[in-house]
Amino acid sequence: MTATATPGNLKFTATPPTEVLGPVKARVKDFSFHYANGFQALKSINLSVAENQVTALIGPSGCGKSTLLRSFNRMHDLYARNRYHGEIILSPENINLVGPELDPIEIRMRVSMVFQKPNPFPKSIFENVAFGLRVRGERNKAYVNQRVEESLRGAALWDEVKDRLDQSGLALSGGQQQRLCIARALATDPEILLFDEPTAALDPISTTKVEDLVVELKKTVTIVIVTHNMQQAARVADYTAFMYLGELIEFDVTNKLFTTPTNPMTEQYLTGRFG
Amino acid sequence: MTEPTPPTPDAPMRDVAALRRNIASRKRADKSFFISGALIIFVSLGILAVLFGNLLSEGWPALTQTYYTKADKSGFGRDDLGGEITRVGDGWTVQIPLATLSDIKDSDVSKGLVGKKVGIVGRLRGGAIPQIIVREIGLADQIAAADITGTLERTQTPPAKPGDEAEVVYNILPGPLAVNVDKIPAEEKSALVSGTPVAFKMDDRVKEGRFTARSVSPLITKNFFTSFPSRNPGEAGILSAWVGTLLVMLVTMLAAIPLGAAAGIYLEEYAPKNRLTSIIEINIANLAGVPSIIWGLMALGLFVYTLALGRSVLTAGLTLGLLVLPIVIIATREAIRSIPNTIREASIGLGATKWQTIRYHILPYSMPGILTGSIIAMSRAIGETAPLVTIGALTFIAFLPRSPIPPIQREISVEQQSTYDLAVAKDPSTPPPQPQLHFTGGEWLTSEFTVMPIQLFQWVSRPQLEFHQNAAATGVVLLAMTLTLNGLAIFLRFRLRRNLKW
Ligand SMILES: Nc1ncnc2c1ncn2[C@@H]1O[C@H](COP(=O)(O)OP(=O)(O)OP(=O)(O)O)[C@@H](O)[C@H]1O
Ligand SMILES: [Mg+2]
Repeated sequence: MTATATPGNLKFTATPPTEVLGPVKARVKDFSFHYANGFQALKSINLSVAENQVTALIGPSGCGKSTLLRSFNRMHDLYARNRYHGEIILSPENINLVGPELDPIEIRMRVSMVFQKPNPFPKSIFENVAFGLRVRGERNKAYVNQRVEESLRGAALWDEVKDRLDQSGLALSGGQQQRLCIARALATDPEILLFDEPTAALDPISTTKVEDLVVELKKTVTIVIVTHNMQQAARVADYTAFMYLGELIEFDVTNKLFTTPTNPMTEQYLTGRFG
Repeated sequence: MTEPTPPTPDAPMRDVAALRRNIASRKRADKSFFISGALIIFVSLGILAVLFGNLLSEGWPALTQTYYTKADKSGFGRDDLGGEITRVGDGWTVQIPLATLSDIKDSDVSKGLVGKKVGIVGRLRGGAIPQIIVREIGLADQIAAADITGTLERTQTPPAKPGDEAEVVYNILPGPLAVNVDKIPAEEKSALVSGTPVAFKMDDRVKEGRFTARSVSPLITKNFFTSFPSRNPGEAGILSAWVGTLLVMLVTMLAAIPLGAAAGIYLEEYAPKNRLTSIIEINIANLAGVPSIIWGLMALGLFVYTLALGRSVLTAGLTLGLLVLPIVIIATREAIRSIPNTIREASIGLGATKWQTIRYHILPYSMPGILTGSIIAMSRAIGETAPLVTIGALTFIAFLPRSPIPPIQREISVEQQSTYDLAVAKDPSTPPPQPQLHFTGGEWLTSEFTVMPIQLFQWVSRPQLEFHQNAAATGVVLLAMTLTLNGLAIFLRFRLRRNLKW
């Protein structure tokens, strides 16, 4: 596979993706994406997401990180005439996440997402977390209460909000709101958790909390995270994928990608010479 | 890094004076726009104040005043009270001397009223011989616009010769009445000097040689709302009009709000964004601008003739409902559009279906906007006249539609009875039918009606000045209704949006 991307006057070749070591949770195969206006945002991506590991997507602005991430839970279906090509195969059933035969609602119940800007509902903290259970018709109050507490604990927010669960989620600070959104995504016990620059709007302390959380969460869930912060990727990710202009340039174990990138373009990006 | 170069001596000097001239000229334009803008606003506000002031000053007295007539001496009738008009400062008052009311029987009841404020009611009713009933004010809701009120006094003249009965006379001592003479024609006003005899007419006929004006009368306001329209302007009220307006608005609300909200939600959340949708969108905006009388014509054809709904409350409500539907749709769509996409994505992302997202998020969060828009729509509908005239609203209604609150009755239906009759003929031991619940609440829908603006129009088109004042009073009430609705809309907007900041 060759890349035609040419930052400055350099011409590079994309490095074929490395396989992951452990079990694979999702395998992206020859995946391309076109927006409604015809713009091709992703070009034949091949990538493996390792189970119970953190996979980071990095790359300059506009390279298609969010587009790829949002394909995992079919967020693009919300807007008409977006087109997927290729496959994202989910283990263990080997179903195609972007196949038309699969109900996107099922996918979103198994693959949850945390957005760049905290977006709690203008409802109580409790209702925010319980929403995912409510929509699937969960009536058992004791169970809902238990899940809400577990999720808030899982998102390291319980101690801060346990006395004011009936307050509006919007009354929390930005960092707390983001952890509330994480708790909301955890409540339905997803298999994959997607983070799109979850700390972009947060202060350094909240950022640290969220990062610690990501590392903690991978014990139970597979994580894909988009970040602009190279240190963040180095801190939290087991695998890192470098993307550029809709293509996957290099994918490897984070340590290796950051220390000895095989692709000169990756090196250029990591050393801050473009992007 | 380059060394900073020393300034070149012949670098051109900046012309600061020209700069300042430039600023000054631009600021002049600023200022002249500000002045003309402020002027326009103040002039418009002034005109508005004059218009409202006029309406209020015309209408307010009608809520609080009754009529009197100037009388020549010979014009005094049996039921009239004579008095003298006096100038007091800017106004006029009439001091009415004792009125002798010999018709009042000397009973315990009458004695009990002595010293209390009383009113004489029923003088206009009861046909040729007016019947006089005295009631204590406060107990007596029946005191009408044209009735006399005052303090009751009882005088007992000792018998002329022993053995005769004592003569008992009841008098009503009305207080001085302030008189508004603005409505008196100029040439008559000049003749109106202190000491002119005037009479409070209990009769609605305005005889020649009299003019009418108004005097302040103590308690009338309530009557305006509880009386039907009448040939007598002093007695006429807006009962059928405001009840009609309320019922028509009820139908309008039930038709326009759910339909408009549903249409708005469909267009925003479900409709594919294609050419057809955009044509529909443009035309909804256009519909909002269709002259209301055209709606009346369409409703006449559709509801009255094709669907045979009659010239009824239902037809009127549906017509106004259609008229304001675009307003509700547009308000709904705007409210929905203000909800950020991130909320939809969060909800959908948690596995909610589209309907769940609408039900739990879109609808509640857009509710303030939908409600505000709906109330604005109602306040527009409440004043509409043309379409209702077109579909044939009546102008003079002295009855009320049946109550829309369903009276639930238990009765035996005709079918039950006939089945029973047949069965009994065969087998006499058949148990009699049980009465069943019947809802008879729908009749008001097919009732004829009038509404406030039509009542207003009808009064304005009469020649008598008194009716014009009634019309103005109706205007005041209508305006108050509209302002209340708009106030409610503003309140809701602030109240409900307080906890919805994205
Ligand atoms: N709705 C859309 N319609 C058309 N093109 C889009 C749309 N959204 C994004 N794009 C384009 O797709 C490309 C990839 O966008 P994407 O949002 O995935 O970038 P990104 O890598 O997440 O960037 P950033 O780091 O700035 O968030 C960009 O060139 C962008 O202009
Ligand atoms: Mg992005």
